Amino acid sequence: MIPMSYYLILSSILFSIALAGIFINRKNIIILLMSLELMFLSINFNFIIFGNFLSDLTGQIFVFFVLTVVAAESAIGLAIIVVLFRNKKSINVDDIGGLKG
Amino acid sequence: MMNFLFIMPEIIITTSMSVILLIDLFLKKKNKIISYYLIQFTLLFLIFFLIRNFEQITSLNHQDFSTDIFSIVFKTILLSGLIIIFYYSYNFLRYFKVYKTEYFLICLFGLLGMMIITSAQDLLILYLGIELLSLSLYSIIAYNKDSAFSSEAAIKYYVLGAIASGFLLFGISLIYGLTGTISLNEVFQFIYDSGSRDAVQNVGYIFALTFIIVSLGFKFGAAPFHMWIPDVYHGSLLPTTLLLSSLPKIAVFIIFIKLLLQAFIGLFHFWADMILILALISIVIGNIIAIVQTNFKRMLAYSTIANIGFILIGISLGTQESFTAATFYTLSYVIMSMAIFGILTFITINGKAVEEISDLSGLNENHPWQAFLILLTMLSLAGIPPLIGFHAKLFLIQVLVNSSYFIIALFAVIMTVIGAYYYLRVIKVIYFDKVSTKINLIISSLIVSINTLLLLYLGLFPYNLVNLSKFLMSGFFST
Repeated sequence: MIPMSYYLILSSILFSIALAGIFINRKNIIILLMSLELMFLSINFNFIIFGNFLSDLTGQIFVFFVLTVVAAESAIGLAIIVVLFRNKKSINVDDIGGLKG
Repeated sequence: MMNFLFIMPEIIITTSMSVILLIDLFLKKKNKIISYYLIQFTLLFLIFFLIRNFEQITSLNHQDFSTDIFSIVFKTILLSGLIIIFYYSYNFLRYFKVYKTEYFLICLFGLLGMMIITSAQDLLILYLGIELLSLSLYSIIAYNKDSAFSSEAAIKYYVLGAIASGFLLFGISLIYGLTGTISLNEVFQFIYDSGSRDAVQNVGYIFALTFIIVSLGFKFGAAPFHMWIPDVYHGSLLPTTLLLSSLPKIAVFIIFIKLLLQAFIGLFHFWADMILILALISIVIGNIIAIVQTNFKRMLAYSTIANIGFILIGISLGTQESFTAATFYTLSYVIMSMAIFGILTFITINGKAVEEISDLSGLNENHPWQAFLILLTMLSLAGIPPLIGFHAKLFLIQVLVNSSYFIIALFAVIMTVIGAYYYLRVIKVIYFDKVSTKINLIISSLIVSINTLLLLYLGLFPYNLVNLSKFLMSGFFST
């Protein structure tokens, strides 16, 4: 049987790839949304592994809620991107600099 | 038969939202005021419902969804705050002809999220409440759909907020893996039973805690994670800024209480320093960068960051007195920010909303009462007696001195003095500069005057609010 740490390493690697994708990406907001999606999927992976190894259903149930919430979240994200595109005629990350944080 | 009383406020609010959404479809444009009154009536009815059934609801003992005195009192505070915020927002949106009933309905979804947060006894329910709040905030920031600033602020907040949610979830998943449960009380019990204070044995918890605290820092706007606050305050409409700067702060403070105090108090030694560092960086960055701001909303955004630093100092000490002081600070800060943004929603400059501080120059000449109200809120934010901001800062510094953190207390006092500069500059612009713009008031400022004079009243008689904060916190320290 594959030990739990292998699974956890896999999910951590996925999480790191997603985080790197968000911070390194300088091109397109859609890619950013994809990275966010990957991040939540890696977390779901975490929940499933823990639920499986603890023989506890809570982890699996949690995943369903997270999936639903993330779907709603990306719907809102895409809606915001549509509004942004109408105002700016571009969805490049570099073009978003009107407000200097 | 199952008793639904414990979740009745949430059921009422969801049902009335759906009904109002339907009614609103059939209303003509000039009759939209009806749905506004329906929404206000729903909120008033809920307050009445909670007060009427107070004894009965608080005696219920539900495992995952608590309706103890703590949550019911906070729900009442949130509801009454939202009524006043809706009153300010309605007049503003109506005047600038951007009013749609959906704006208020999305705010109500946010309220629903906050109400779920106050009752959550479970990491899953807490997460769902946080997400409901964040999702509705993303949408109302993007509400002003013709403004490039607004959509830009929304996408920035969206990306950072989603990363923060991801961090929170990652932390929760690790906590679940380590303890095998997601109930806050069981997590507390598990950590209490293991009873180890050694950093090496607790490395898993520390790892998870770091993720959770980073994400809460994002949601609260504490300093290394504050980048979204100035942009969002600047980019969104004034009513949105008013909402963002007030009620969600209470909600995030409750999340801090639920997670750090209720679940992870056994790991106090590990999170105290993290929170303290966040607090000190917030106070420095907030107060120093606010000095160079010329935009009023951006200046208030940095002042928010500084005030959040003070609240976090109270949280980081982890005693009953410090949490009482932090609760008092949060409540008084919310009243202050509602007052200042409330006044700003009533003022138009050459037919536009207030943007720059210099827009308000010479306000005293034509509108002395409004100038006096801004004077009061600015003095209160600066922490000058006899206003409430003074007591809030005084209690926190008192707690710091009692716990013999003298250097941090001195540091907080010095930073408060630096902070006074930019608040006093606004007063200088209002009272001593020449009139350069045509300033109009949207409607009479009765409610906002009451809100602002409340700062003076609570400053003179702070003991009701102090006793309320003491009472709210006493439940967590009785065992």
